[in-house]
Amino acid sequence: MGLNPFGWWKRWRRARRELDEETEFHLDRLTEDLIAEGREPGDARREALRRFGNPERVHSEWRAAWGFGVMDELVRNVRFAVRGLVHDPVHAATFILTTALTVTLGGLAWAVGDATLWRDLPYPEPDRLVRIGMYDAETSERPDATSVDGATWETFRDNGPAYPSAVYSAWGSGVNLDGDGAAAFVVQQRVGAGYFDVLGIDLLAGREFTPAEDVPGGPALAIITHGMWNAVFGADRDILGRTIALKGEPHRVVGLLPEDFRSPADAEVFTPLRPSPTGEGAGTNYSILARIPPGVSVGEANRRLMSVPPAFDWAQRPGDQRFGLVPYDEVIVDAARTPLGVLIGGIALMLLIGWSNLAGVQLARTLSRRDEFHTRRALGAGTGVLVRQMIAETTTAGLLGGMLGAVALVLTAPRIEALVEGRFGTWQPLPPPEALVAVAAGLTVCAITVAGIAPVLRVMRSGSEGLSPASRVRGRVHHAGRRALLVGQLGLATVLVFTAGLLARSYDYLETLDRGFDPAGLLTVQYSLDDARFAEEDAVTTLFERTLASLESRPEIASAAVALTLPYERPLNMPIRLPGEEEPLLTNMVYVTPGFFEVLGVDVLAGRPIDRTDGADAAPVAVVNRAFVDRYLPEREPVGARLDVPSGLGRVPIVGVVDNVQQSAGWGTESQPVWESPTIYVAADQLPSRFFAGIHIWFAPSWIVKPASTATPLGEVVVPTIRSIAPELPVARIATMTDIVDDAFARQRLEAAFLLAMAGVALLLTALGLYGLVAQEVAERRGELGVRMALGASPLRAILHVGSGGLAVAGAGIVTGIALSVGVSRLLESLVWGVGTLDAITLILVVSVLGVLAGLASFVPASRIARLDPARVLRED
Amino acid sequence: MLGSRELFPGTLDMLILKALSLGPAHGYGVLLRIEEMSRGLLSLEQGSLYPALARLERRGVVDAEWGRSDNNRRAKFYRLSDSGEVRLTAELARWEEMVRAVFNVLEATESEA
Repeated sequence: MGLNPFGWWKRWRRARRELDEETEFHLDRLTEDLIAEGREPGDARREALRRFGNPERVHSEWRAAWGFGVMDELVRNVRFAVRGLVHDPVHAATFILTTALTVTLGGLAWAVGDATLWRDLPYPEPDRLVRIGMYDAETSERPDATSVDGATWETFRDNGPAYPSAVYSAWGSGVNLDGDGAAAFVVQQRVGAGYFDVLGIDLLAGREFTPAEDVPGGPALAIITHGMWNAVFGADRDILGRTIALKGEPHRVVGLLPEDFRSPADAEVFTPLRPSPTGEGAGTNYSILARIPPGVSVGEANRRLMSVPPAFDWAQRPGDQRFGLVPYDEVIVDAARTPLGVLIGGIALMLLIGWSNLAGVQLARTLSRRDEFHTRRALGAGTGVLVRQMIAETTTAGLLGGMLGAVALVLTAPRIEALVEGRFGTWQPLPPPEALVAVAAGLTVCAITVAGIAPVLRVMRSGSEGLSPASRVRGRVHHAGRRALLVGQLGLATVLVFTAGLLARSYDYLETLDRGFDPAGLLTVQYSLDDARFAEEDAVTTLFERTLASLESRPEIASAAVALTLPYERPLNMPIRLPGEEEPLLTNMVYVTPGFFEVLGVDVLAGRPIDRTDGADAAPVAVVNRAFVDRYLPEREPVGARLDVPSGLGRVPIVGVVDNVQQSAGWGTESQPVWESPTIYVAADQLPSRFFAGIHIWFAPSWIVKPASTATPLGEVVVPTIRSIAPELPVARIATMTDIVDDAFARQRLEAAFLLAMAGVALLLTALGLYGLVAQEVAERRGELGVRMALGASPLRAILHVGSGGLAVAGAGIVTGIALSVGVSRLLESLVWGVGTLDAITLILVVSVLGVLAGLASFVPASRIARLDPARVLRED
Repeated sequence: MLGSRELFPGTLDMLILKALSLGPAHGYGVLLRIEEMSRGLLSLEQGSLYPALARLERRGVVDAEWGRSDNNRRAKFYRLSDSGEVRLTAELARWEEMVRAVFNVLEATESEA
């Protein structure tokens, strides 16, 4: 037989037809001969048929001769399996749905993990790409962070090994683009000369920036992605050399990127970085990417790096500062690794629980068919026949579930792409449907194997047992296999519930943190001022003044203000000094317009807030928050104290203290998503223009608007008002303050919700499994229990006895689960805030919920014993 | 009369090969030859011929070809292949050996009794 099933099928049909033809021929000739012998035609035909023999048997022997026996058996087994499913739709539905669920979830976990964590970077030889950073050789083995300042880059460039390398900004930022007519907001990444060469990308057309161009004051150039070329410029064939209006000034397009290029910052346009050791280059705002040449190992490269002397400033730091490298893919993946890992781990647990449920169900059904197997064996069926039937049954149901799961997977995957991009920073596309189907197939095979092993083993072992006619009245039936499965399931379910509970409590803690302000009804609109049109003297402050005046003149609006960053966002950090002290103190800084604190509803604790007296002509002042005072001015009276703020303001007095608001973490020992960080507030009007030019490369200010009454939708009022004053500015983001607050913990919310859902499903499956175990035991022991009750034993004792058997299994499982949870809690440390990872409340809740569930699942089926009628049961034998 | 199920297993195959050694024939023809050669003592369940022929064809011991019968109807003709001839000789030798052995056993018992 060839391997082509369709050809096989055609040959089979032709052989069938030929047999029919031969048979007809034979019968006709025999009939003719019988007629020639003198019989009647009808009689002759009947005799011919009789002599030919049973056509069914001829046919099946013929099929066996052709080797179709195996196919026959398979078809027969599958038909039997399907009939079995149809006759027991509850079991069929549970099996198929459980399989489908595990296949879909497992496939999604793999897809997201592949796109975010495991897949190679989409560049040639990605394992040769590294990020360069500094580290203290006395305390670490390699850099923790790979951000560098301008001086370090220049040192590396001039003294480091001659590997292809480039400096760039790892973060994208939103900038204004003037397309034809309309203003658009696009994502820009600033990269240095040689960046694409290091990545190994050949531009589709044009070239990248040269070192001569990539200097402060250099020409305004742009390299655009294929997507932007299509969407914004209509695939203009003359795009090279054309100028585009980016950030308010004309940029000449010098390069076009290939279609499949992707940057982790998800940028659409690239401009020169213009690195410098001063300004932004004075802080660690740059990244260095290098490619280790072929023939050089990572270890060699590291050693070579260690011999490069650090930049002057860095050498002054304590410890043994050296250059080091970190593989680029590790840097990219780092942030998502633990949070996503927890979700994938949770799904893996779900899979195990689901599959062991399938195994338990199959095992139970096999046990109840014990008599059927014995009888068939007695009638001559070999082990092989029974095993093949068991395999066919499991495979049929499993394949149905697997197909359902595959369809669900292919349909769901595209829908979550945007979600994972937002929550976990996934920047590569999810795998295509073909890959998903392949993974679904693999998972289905696993499910079928796990579910099918137990029954097959059971059948194989049943060969050594005999038929036991006295099987009705049995002693304690040992469902050892099933019990073990359930203990395992309960253990895993405990871990899931525990993790979900911890994450939920952590999310609740974050959610209920004292905000420090009132977001109700506030609308925020953000604009990018990284724009040549706002680089002139006073352009920014004039914009603020005019837009705020216009907004506040509207009846729908009660008050408005502008701030560099909003609460729950990541603020600018700035080193300041207390006069007379050497050590710089790291603090956050926010510029605001008068009325900021009133709009947000932040309490003033001492002195006064920034107000209209703090104009451009008045002496510069600062306002600090309570956290600043607590940390840096604990002994002194804050109001009146002076600070050295290196923003061109010079030495400023503190005129007021305000309450803390939550801000996103950018630094500090807490890695909590938001915290009450020390902050100073300054008046936007009092900052020098050159300060804005630098800071607006990194931050885009937001207008905060408070409605006169909470019922008015403000979006239609605010944006047109601002546009009438600055039509060249596209909106970067428009969102209510409440949305911004919610968004700060969106990932934590997703994790907690998802894990809770999975814990719920796991509990349901486990409860069903436990219920089934106890119910089956009750059914099997009916005879024995009937005898006991006829002899006077009370039903209550029997119920307790059987029910506590179930509880014992549950108890073992929960204890195992708690032990596992203790081990797992270590991994969760970076994800849980406000509660300890061995939080007592969570543990108690987990044990209670599981205990109650186990109790129900054990005693509800056990209670059926009370309805046993001893007389009837005894007669059943 | 011996029915086909009373034959030793494999005997049917041997009878078919012998019948075909006399020349190609279709299924009915093979049947007639066997009945004739056995002088009417063997009456096979006729349908079991075709599975046997299929088995032999599959093993390459006989070749088959569709042709026209003597009354001009389409029929499948079987023919002994080269390996079939070899097989037939071997089977005949084995059969003779077995029969002689059984015969010896039966004769010995009588004489000892």
